[in-house]
Amino acid sequence: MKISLRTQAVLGIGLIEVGMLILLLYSVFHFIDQSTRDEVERRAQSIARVFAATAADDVLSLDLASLQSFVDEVAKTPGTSFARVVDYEGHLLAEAGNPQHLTRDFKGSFDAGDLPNLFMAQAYIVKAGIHYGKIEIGLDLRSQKENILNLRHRSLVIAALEVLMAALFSIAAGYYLVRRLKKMTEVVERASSGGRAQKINDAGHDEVGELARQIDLLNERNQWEHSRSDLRIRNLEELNRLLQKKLAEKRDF
Amino acid sequence: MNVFKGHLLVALLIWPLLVYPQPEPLTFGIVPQQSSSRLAEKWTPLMSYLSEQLGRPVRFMTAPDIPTFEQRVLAGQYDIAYMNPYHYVEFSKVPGYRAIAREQGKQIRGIVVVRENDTATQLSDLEGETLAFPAPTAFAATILVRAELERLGVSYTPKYVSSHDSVYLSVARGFVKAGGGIERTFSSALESGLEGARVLWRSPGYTPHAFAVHPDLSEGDKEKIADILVSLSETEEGQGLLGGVTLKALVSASDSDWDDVRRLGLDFIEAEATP
Repeated sequence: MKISLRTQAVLGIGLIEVGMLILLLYSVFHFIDQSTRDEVERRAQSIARVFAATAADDVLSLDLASLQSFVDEVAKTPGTSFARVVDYEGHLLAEAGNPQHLTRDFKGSFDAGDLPNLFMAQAYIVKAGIHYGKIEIGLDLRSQKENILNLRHRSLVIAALEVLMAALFSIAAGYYLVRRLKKMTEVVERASSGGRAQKINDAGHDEVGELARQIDLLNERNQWEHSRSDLRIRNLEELNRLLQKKLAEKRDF
Repeated sequence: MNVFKGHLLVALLIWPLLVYPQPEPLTFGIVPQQSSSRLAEKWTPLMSYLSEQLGRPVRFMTAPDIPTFEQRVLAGQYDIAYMNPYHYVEFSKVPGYRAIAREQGKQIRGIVVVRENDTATQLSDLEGETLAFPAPTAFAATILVRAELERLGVSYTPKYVSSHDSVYLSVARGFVKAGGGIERTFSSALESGLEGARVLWRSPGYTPHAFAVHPDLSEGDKEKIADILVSLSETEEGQGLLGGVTLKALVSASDSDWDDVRRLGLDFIEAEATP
């Protein structure tokens, strides 16, 4: 099966493009996912630790009113779903935030798969090695998930445009190249069949243009050789004719 | 059969652990002269030592401020409490806390602290100024200082800032002209990096803070706790624990040790303490 250069170029460039883009997008999405998880965990731990340090005095002195005010403020912080404080025996001291999230059991790590809507972290209030209480916070990850989804969509659109542009360019480049090669083939075929070859006159400054110029030179040389050969034949025929004439005159004489 | 016997033996061995509940923790309330975190850092090692010696958990507790501490002591929330002399005099009446130990050879003095570069040389120089105190009923830091100012006829505006540390910081940062405190917490604050404050005046000495137990605590427990506290200074570990809470050796105490405070007459104190 004959596959044209244009088809080969389009298929080759297209396959390489698609393959590399899949690899690139997979790596980027994996990196975004992993870095988001790391960042969420780091941020949640930082908030929980700062929260624990700030609430320590209220927990130790059992200042429940101040603790509740503080927990209320923490729960109102953008991105925070809930905050909860329990003492060393697990008794609830204060909590605030999304009522649905508050009822969930504590879970402080990610599962494999998609990011959850809620991520929890905890920090202990420890003084001189003794545990006095525990802080739990929940981070609402819905806005992060939405941002990641938008980013993915945008990346996919850009990748699709990139593949389309590459395909169009390779089709155009293939068409241009094949058209020049076709013209050269016609000229060479005419020359080889003994016809008068036309000049290709390719104005390109690339390798194909160089080849066209060499073919033009070759054709010119062939034509020159051809005209020289005709002249010699004509001269020989003239000489032969004169010789014949001289011989006839001698015979008559 | 042998396997069954083995399981039975294990079950019999762990059965007492399952049927006997863990002993109830003892609560040890500390008067909030400093921030709760700082108090917890300082007092928790002593609580751990007591837990070990008593074979029963002893939990550190405190209150957000002195009035809340007083309410909690009055409600009998602490099995053991470390309280100021005025508190002891009051709470030995109701709910009837009983003194078990105090610092040996120590007298508590109130001090008045001013900024390092302040020109004041005596209490009368504080006329018309705002003075910081930890709480209305802080014995040495407030009552002794205010009694002296009253005696001298110095008028001033009191400002209560919750803890001794807050008093020293308020003075050092220039929020108030002067403040009342005690030597122990002032030394502790200086060790922790407080700068820019000096002592202007010291009061006469009185019997210091009391370690007291709740009247419901059994006589056996009371004696055991007193023995552990008093014997702290006999070992290197105990001395370290006492040093950690800025206390010297402890001795057994009796209720009459605070008669000097009772003799002060608490009319002034009661007027301030009861809103």
